[in-house]
Amino acid sequence: MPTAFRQRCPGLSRFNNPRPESVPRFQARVLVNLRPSVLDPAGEATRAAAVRLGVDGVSRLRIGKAVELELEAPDEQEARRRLELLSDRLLANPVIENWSLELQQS
Amino acid sequence: MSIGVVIFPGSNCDRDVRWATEGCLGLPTRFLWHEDQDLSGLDAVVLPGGFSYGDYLRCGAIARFAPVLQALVDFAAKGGRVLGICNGFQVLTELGLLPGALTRNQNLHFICEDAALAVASSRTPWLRHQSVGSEIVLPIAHGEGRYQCSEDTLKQLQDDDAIALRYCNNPNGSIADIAGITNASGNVLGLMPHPERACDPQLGGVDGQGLLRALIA
Repeated sequence: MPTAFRQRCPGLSRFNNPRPESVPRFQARVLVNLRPSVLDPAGEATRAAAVRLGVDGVSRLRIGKAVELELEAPDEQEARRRLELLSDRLLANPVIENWSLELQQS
Repeated sequence: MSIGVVIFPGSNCDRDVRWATEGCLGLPTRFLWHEDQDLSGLDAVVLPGGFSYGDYLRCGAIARFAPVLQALVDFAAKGGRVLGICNGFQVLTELGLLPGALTRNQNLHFICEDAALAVASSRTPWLRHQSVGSEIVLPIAHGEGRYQCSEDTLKQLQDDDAIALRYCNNPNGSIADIAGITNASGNVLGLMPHPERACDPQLGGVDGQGLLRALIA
């Protein structure tokens, strides 16, 4: 649909929604972890509990977050761009955390 | 002359702050809802303690996008005084008005006790009434108050004389015993201890009065 038409009819999104049926959908998982230099006391407490459970040999345990997302985007490059922005600006705090992104088309 | 106290969903020290500033110190104070954007007529804004937006994702991470904070960035840039207490400090770091981040206490406990603090700088209006090295006692109440920053940031804080308060007995593992910092120009202060809980003589101490008086001074 031409952009000019959309601008003329801002209130008719239900009728002039330009999204085609076949817009690609993506599934993503963003893994957020504390930077190696940041102490993780919760991870250390969990490691100590592993020892009490009787599980030997756990020398390192760090707790992070996994954020699962589904999104629609014109292509993978654009999906990746949006997710990188989201991860950098909201899902992770770069002062203390690193993140990595897994992305696949569904 | 007026102070604004921001209320986020989940703030729980907003009324304590107003009681301290208006009830105890007689400073005109009004509340600001998190969706407000009009800060006109205010000399200072306080971000109170609590659990803004349930502390979801990270403490202060979602509050950062509140409309009132977009206005606050301009307010601070023009030299308006901004005080972030506890969760308010966490919000200021997420917002980027102060460097670093607040992380889980080293011993994993929620610590609620009086903390002795050493004045590390009297450069800014907040602590101008104190001499460097003097001690004040303010209550702390937090689970995520361990201040973290890079070596470079720590050096910058020291070079700017921006470390305002240090713990005498570091309760949470904060780097360099940091309890509170200012920005380089000194109009923004963030601290984990609660000055508003040390203003009413009936609560056992009034060491917080000087910090709150500095909101309008």
